[in-house]
Amino acid sequence: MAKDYGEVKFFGTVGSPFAKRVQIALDLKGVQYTYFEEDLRNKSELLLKYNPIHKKVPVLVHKGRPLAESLVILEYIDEIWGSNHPLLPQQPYDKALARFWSRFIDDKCLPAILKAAFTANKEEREKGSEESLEALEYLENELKDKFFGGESIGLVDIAASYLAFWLPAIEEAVGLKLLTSDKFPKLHKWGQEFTNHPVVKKTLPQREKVVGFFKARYASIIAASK
Amino acid sequence: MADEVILLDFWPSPFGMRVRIALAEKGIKYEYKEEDLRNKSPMLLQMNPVHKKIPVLIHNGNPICESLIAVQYIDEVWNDKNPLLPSDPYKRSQARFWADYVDKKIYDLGRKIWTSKGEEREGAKKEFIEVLKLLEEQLGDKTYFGGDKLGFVDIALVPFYTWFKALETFGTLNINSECPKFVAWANRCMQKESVSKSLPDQNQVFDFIADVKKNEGEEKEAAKEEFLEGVQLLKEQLGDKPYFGGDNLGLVDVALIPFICYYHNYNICDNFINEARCPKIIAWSKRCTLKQTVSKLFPEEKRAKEFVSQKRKDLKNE
Repeated sequence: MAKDYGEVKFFGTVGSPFAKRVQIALDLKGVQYTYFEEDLRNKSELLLKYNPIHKKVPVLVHKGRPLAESLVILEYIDEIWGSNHPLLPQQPYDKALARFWSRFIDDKCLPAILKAAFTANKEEREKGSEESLEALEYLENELKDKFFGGESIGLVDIAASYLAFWLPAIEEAVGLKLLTSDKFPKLHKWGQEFTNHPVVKKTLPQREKVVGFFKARYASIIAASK
Repeated sequence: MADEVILLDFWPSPFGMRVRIALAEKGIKYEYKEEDLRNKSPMLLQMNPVHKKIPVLIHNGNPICESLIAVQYIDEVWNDKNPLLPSDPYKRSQARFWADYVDKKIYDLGRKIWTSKGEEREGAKKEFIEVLKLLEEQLGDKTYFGGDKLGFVDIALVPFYTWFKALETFGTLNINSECPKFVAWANRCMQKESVSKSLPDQNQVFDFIADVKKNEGEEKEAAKEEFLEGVQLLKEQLGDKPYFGGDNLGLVDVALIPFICYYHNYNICDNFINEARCPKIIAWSKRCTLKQTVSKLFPEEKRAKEFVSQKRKDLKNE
């Protein structure tokens, strides 16, 4: 008999990489949920009720109880829907490493990439590129299998989804070259494996739209600086 | 086989204190190694090559970096007593959420309070109190954030209590009157040996922060003096000529103009290059600015100030 896990609601936006992380995890685990698409310029009352602290997506509501912050949500999902496609390793030390690299992506990689792409000041952009390449180098060295999670997608892969999908879109939109196959052969290949995974592919947004969004963002930064 | 546990730490670090408390709660014997952050040990650089920061927990030769990750690791490995995280997954997720909230807010706001001035400081003070009040609400009527026992959020948060004397003095804040519940909670935590033995005295931390401020201030004053000495030397080079290049702008003029402008024209750094201290150079700088080739290249004051402000932030975060 199928286990009744209770009602799941998920608040996200098509464009949010953090929301997509949660969605990928839910879809990999085959979780049934009701999706609510938010308009971040006009946030719904439900979103503000469920995430009054940060007022952001993603928000997961399980049996009426809300959770916020993508990495927190991912660990929760993995604990509740543990047997389907586990995301975290079993051993405490491996778990600690997975948590470390996920935080590394959020604390170091992403800010560096945004600095490299979306700053008006040329010196800042160059600094951002340097920092991005340094961060990518660490991840390149860390990748030992097909995925960071081993043979299958794990927590770090999902956290790194930004690098597999959004970073190439940024590179195209802004004319940047960071995650190249010659500098980062393993990471580059990983990015393709990840985005071509059948479940991930279905969940990711349309590439042209994302490129368009980044192009517009870049244009407005440049315009504001003149 | 006995476990070998080493903690690379720095006594005033709130992040290091978190790990100390967790180890004490579990009754784990460990070797404490004090790091000199201006002269990091080879062990630290080897064990945390990515961030080169403390704390680093080393368990049987394996390093665990990032304080909250280390605390969770301790809880998972030494799971026989004093659980630090709740057993219920939802409550566990809430504990992680609030520990993450502490990480996002307290450290940066606290630092801003004793490093910034004027409006920026007032803004940081206001937000800091708001954050404490929100945490008070979360605590509610519970003894600890973890309920009846010290938990993950308590451990994440209580180390910052050691900053309070410094915050109150340098920030002219009265935390006790604004957030009495918070202070009461902190004092309850301090009643526990695992906490009181892991945290330095508020006065010690105050002295440490005062020293850091003084050194940063002293360094700044020394740098200003050296800069001015350099300017005086150049003044002698200028002599009676209108420009270093003679009657027209020369290489030295072009090389020097941007720097003088940042400090004089934009008044970054409290106008320390002024008419009283270096009248000849200021007169020269005004002559240069009269030239259109020079004046039209200056970025707009607001942009220049924003740029400097961002640079200051970046340097602090390094």
